[in-house]
Amino acid sequence: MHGEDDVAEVVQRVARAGLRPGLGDWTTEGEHPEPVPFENLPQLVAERR
Amino acid sequence: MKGRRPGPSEALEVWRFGVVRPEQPQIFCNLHISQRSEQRWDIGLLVATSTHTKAGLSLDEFCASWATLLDTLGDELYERTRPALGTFTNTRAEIVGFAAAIARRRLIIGWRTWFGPAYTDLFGREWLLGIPDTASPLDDGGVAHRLAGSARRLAEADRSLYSAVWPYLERASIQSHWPRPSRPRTRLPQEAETDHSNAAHLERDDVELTALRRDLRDLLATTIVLAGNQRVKVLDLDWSAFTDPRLGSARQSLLLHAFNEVAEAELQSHPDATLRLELGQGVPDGLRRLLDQVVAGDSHMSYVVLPGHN
Repeated sequence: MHGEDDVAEVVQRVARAGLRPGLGDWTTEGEHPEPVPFENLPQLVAERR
Repeated sequence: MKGRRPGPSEALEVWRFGVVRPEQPQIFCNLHISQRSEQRWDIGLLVATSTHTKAGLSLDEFCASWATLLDTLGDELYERTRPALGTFTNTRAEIVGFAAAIARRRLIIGWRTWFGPAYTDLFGREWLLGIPDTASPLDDGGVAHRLAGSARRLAEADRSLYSAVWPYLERASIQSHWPRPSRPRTRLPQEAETDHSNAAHLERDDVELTALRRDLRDLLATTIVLAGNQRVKVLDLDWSAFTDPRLGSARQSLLLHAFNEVAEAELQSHPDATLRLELGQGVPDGLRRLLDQVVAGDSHMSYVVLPGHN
């Protein structure tokens, strides 16, 4: 692991395994994060720095 | 804060994401990736077992589907990231401090564990392959380990999952960071009754390792404080015992564990200090390589082999 590109690749692997990183959070009302499209994951990683 | 030593649990940078499994979006799951130093990263995935009811799943259904997924993901991430150690376990709500423990190369055994070469170098590949219940070699020199008990027992934090592991750790005089030991070390009388010869060996080994542990504790308890906030520990031992085929590896592991524990405590109490371990001449090359790994990437820790006495 060296930097953001590696982080993005790890996140993509997690998504490919069936766990989709999302925007937002779980709430007591039953809402949950909204999965981000696979192709937008590198952008999501960049925004979370 | 200038010059302050970053704590082993602190990060330079962190990425956090809520993670959703589309067919079970009610299951609470978070992914975090932290960079702790130039070379040190950790990846954590938290899955809240208790949320299975929100997804309308029985505990058995939840365990069956998530255990398979996480098992596969563990293999994937190991292959991509080549970590010192990867594990998949149930910590309940306990704060376990895995990142710091792995940095110090403390032993961690989860339900599934992937030991990288950094761990096989320290504990010995054969010893890790011998941990019950099953273990297999990885292509990079590492070891993949599995407990035999079900994921349901893991979800219930059933400590008997480790029933075969405890005696194995006791025989090597190794105390794991995880699972946490729940009782003081005990002898193994049932083994002594069934195999007197084996028991005699075990007892002799145990006496020798217990004596070494006591000696290390006593020697490392003394700190020499030098100018510039340097703290020094000195170990001058009979190094030939550390290459002995029977107990050499166990002795090396004990020394590294003792040094790690002392270093962690010392640097937590004195965060601006540097700690140097000074060793008498004749330290085996294998032990030096292990010490190189322990101090690598930590500018506050070092070791040196002192010149011989003439």
